[in-house]
Amino acid sequence: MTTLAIQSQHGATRTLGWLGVYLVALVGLGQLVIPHMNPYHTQILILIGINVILAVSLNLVLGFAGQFSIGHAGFMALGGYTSAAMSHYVLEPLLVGQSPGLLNGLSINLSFASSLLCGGMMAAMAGLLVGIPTLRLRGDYLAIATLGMGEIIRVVILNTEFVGGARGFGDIPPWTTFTWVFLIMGVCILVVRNLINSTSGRALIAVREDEDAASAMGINTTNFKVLAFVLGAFFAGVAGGLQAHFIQYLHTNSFTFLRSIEIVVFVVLGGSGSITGSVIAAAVLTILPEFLRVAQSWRMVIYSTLLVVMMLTRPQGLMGGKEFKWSWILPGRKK
Amino acid sequence: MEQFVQQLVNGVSLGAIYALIALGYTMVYGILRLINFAHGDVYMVGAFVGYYVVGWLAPGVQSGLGGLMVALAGAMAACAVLGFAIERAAYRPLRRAPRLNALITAIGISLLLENLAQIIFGADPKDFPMLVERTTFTLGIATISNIQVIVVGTAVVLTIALEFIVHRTRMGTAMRAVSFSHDAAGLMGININRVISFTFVLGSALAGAAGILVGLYNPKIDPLMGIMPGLKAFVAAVLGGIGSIPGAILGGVIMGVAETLTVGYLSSTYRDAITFVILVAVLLFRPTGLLGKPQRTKF
Amino acid sequence: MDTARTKEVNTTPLPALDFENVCLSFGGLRAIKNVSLRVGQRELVGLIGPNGAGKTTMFNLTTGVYTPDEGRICLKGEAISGRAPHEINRRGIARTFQNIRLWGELSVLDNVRAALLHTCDTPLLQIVLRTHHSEANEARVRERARELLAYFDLIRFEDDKARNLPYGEQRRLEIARALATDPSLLLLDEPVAGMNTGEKIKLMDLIRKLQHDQHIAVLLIEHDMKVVMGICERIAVLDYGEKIAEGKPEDIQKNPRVIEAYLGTSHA
Repeated sequence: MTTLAIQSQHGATRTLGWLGVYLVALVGLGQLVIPHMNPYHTQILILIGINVILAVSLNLVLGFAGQFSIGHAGFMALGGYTSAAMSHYVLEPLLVGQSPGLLNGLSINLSFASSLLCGGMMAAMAGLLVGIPTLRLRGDYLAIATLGMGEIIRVVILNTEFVGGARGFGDIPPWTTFTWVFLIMGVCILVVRNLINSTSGRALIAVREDEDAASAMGINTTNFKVLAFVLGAFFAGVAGGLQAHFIQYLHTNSFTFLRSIEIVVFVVLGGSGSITGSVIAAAVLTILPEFLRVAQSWRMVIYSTLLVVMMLTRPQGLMGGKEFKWSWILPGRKK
Repeated sequence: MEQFVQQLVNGVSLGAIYALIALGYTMVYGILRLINFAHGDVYMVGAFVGYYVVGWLAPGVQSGLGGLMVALAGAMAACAVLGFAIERAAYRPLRRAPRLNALITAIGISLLLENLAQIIFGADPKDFPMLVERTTFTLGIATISNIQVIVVGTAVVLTIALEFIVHRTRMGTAMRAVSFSHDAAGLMGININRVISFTFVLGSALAGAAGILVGLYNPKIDPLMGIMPGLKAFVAAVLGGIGSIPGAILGGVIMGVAETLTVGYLSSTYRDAITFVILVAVLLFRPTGLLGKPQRTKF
Repeated sequence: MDTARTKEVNTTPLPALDFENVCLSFGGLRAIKNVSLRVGQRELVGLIGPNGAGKTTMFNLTTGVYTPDEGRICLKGEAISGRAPHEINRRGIARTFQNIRLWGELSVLDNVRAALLHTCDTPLLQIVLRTHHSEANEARVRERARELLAYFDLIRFEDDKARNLPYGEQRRLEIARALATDPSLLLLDEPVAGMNTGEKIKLMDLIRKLQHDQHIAVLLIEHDMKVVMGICERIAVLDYGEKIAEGKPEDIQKNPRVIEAYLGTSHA
């Protein structure tokens, strides 16, 4: 990517150009820095990345579109299991016999990409199927419906022998790398940010602010709610795939209502309606348990107390709906 | 056929427990439009309070209906206080806040109760004392146990008491007024805070009673025992029509029967799944529930 | 302000709004009883009546919130009753609300931008990639939004959150937002409620000017009689869901049924 392309008048090339630079930086880090890092730290980074993707994608639905979706883990599970099945049953057997090398690396990356894409698409389809009927509901009812849907998905997967059922799904190829996670994280943030700042994004927020006024102004509120829902589900599915190929084992116990609530906490504590907030909250709350090396129960007590206190004292979360602006650190640069 | 009737009997007594818990959900939702996620955990606390109360009593009183009465009284009182405290500390400040905040707070309180209970009571299941010796007798083609009779009987008594309070006392009328409109009720001189607190106290006491009754039925109690029944009772309340007291009872019984039939005729792995299927079906096809009134939003 | 809309003048022009024998009941309550009303394509018509007469309900019927039990509602000859609100808006009816319903967290500019969605057809992928086409659309939307804000003297507030605007400015913003949807018929629900006399005069002048510049029909609910009599060409009066009078302002003022509806002893 040359500077010429980046400064080009042509919008798409500019966006892709920056994305390309980002990718190169990630690959560089991945090849030069990561291998020398403590694997424990790498693990934390990867988990942070996955949680950020989950938080930002949920923020689109919960924070920006204002839809009480508390079944996000269900989409994550669906995506994770789908991509794992794809990799384990279809792709990996195709790669058997390839000797390590550039071609092999390329094949693996391509396989992983298609596997993640399948996971995301599956989750997105579920988002569509779930979204269309339930997004008619409002408020608490929608929350309960999404909760129920998430659980139904989980129970269905639990009873699917093909993906391990109650024993779980193991032997998933270890294809997740730092580069992949952070690349997808970057894409997710880019997609959500660009969508939100556009006219359509403003219309989405209008739906959140006052749905009836929005439809009176010509905004097809159902379409927008479903769009947010499907996009959110897609990224949750991809995040599930990333997790599956990292831990190399899947069990539905990782995708319960509690996991959905964890993601909701990221969004709410960071400030719903703020991408920056979701990133910070997801990062901090992923690292925090590593410092709080106490029993799980105590950790949850602190967590939930924190949640309640936050809701009572600063419900707008950390960022209060505001976003990071470059002008905060680069004085003189206008938006 | 015999088995079917038997399942029905079992279902009804399970349903009675769900109904008692559902009543708390429905009353609180009717009055605050809040899904009190922590309600199932209040039920759990009731069971544990009963466990400890009976444990402290002199052995002589430990069994029989006397012990049961003491356990019920203790649990209901403790849960009433707990419900009052939760409302006061966590929900009242958020009464004018966006609904999502209250929902999240309720979830937070629920998690808090569950994990505190795990720390205080220990995570391992405990055996609820056998207050009543289980005997069975046949009635027609079904076998009924005395425990089932006690469970349903207690539930019926409590429900009658509740109906009396709601329809024949001033406080009950106030409760119904507040559930229509806070502002109008306030303007009529009703002390909203007191009414809401009272509602929580009532609902939580009923949940406490349910905790004791389930202890008789199913002696293993543990800190996470409130999650599924809480959810099922909530679905029961929604099924019956959230905000409607008869609805909660009807919903509870239907949920109990549906669960028992599912386990009996399908498989026990779907025991919990049927709950969610019913929930989604209700929300999609009849969100106001069986006995609920369709709500028209004033534009 | 340039409107870029041409109107053919027929010898028998279609009315902007045609309310034909509309009836609506809520359960047992008959809210609208056989009401007929026409608003010409460039008319400014007032809708008055005591509280609870059904004026806002008529607006709700027109914008698709309710569907009539009987009768038809037509916009420039095309039936619209039974369609979804956002579709009706796209066909050319916009409104403001009795209780201001702005999108509080959005900026003043963004409130208008969101309403300009109908001019912006960028597919999602292009939005995400910020293609040339997408950016051009966005620039166009912003420019148009600023135009509207300038017309309503709101430009200096453009980056403020709508919820932070003073009351009078919020009312104007609601009208600006409604105009952004490019309507043929504008429904204004008590646009000057809560304003002082000076503000009222300013806003009514603006409405008159806007109706003239934009070549649109305006149907106006108002309680302030001076305002109504001042700018409406024609007035319809509702009482208990029925239209009890219709005509020129001076005739309505003298109409005994109207006087009775507002002051009469029969409404105990």
